[in-house]
Amino acid sequence: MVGPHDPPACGSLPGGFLLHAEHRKVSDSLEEYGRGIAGGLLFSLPLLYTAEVWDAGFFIPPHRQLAYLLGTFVLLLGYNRYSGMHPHARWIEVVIDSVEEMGIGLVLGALLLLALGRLTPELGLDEVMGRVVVGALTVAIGVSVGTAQLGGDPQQRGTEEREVGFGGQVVLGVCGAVLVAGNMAPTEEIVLIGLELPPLQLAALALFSLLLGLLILFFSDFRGARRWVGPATGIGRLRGAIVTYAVALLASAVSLWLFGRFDHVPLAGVVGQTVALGVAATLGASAGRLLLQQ
Amino acid sequence: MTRLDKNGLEWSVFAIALLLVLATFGYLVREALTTDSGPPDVAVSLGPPTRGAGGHLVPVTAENHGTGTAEEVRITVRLEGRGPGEEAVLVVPYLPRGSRRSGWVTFRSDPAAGSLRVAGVAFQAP
Repeated sequence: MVGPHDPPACGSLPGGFLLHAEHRKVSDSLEEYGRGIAGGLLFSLPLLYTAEVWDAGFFIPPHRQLAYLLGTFVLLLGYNRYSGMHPHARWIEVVIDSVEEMGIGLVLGALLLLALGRLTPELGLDEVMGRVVVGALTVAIGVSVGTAQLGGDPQQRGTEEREVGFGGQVVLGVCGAVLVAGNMAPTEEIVLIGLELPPLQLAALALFSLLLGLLILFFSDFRGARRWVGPATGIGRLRGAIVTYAVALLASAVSLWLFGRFDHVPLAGVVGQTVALGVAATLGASAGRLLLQQ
Repeated sequence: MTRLDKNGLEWSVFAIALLLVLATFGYLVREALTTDSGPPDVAVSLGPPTRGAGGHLVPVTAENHGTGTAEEVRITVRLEGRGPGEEAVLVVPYLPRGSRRSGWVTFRSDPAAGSLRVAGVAFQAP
C-alpha cells in the first residue's frame, strides 16, 4: 500500500511520477497492514456481530450485492483519492490500493465470520458469499481508513498541501456517513423507529440532525472544521449544514435500500427509516468527514 | 521511467487481492444474471433413530434445491404403529437456496416398531 509511510520519493514530480524510486521496507508494509487490520476491525466489528447481517446473505439478491460491491469500491477510490493517500498519488496507485484494501477486507471478514461460527458447511455457497460480501465490505473501508488514519504523521500524507474541493468533500461526507451509519443500517431497530414514529416527531428528528450538522461544522471548534469548512456567513453556514444533511440522507437511503429495507414498504416508511438513520449519517457526514481528513 | 515503489510483499498481497475481488465480482455477476425468482424446493430426509433420555430421536435434514429462500419451514414427521400414532413438527426459520439445515424430532414410542414418514412440508416466501 502507498500510504503515510511513503519514503520521501526521490525525484517525485507533481502528479506523482517517480523518476527513481526505492522499494519500501517490508517492515513498513507490515506495519501498514497491521494498522489496516486494526482499522478494519474497529469500524466493522459491530456489523459482523449483527444477526441481520448474517441473514443478509440470503435476503439481499445478487444484483444488490453487486451494487454494494461496486459502491464500496467507488467509496474506497474516493477516500483514497481525497484523503487516504498523498495528494500527488496517481489514479493507478489509488486503484491498486483500493483493490488491495478490498481483498484484505474480504479475507479479514471471512476469517472473523469463520471464527464466530457464522460460516458452516451447512450453508449454501450463495449464503456464504452473501455473508462474506456484506460483512467484508465495511471491513474494507475500515482497512483503508485505518491504514491512513491510525498511524504516521499527517504531514507525510500530504494533508498540509492538500486542497479538497466541493466534490471531494461530498465524497468524504458519504464515506463518513457510511462508516458511522453502515453499522446501524441493517438492524431491525431502524425499521421500528422509521415505521412507528409519528410524522411530527420525525420532522423534529430531521431538524435535530440539521442542527447537529450545523453545531459540528460551525459552532464547536471541531478539529479541521476551520480548514475544511472555513468561515462562513449565516446563509453559508445554513447551506453547508443543508448539503451535509442531504449527503447524509442520500447515504442512509442507499444503505437501507441495499439491505432490502425499502422492499414492500410504503413511502412513509421509506422516508421514516431514512430520517431515523439520517441522525447517525449526519454525524458521519460532518464529524466523520472532518476526522477522515486529519 | 515511471514505476511504483511497492515491494514484493505488497505486490503479492495486491495480486491475491485482485484475484479475490475479481472472483467475487464474477460470481456476483453470474448469480445476478442467472438467478430467477422461482419457488423453493425443499427435500426432507430422515436419519436412523437413536434412543435418548427424552424418547427416541430421529434426525431430520432439510435441503433446498429450488431457486428461492423458504421461510418458516414446518416439517411434520409421523410415526405410524399399532396405536393412534404420533406426530412431531420441526420448524426451520430460514432455508436459503442451496443450503441444508438439520434437526431432530422425538417420539415416545420406538420408531423401530412402526413406520416413519414425512407427513408434510410447508413454508412461506420471505
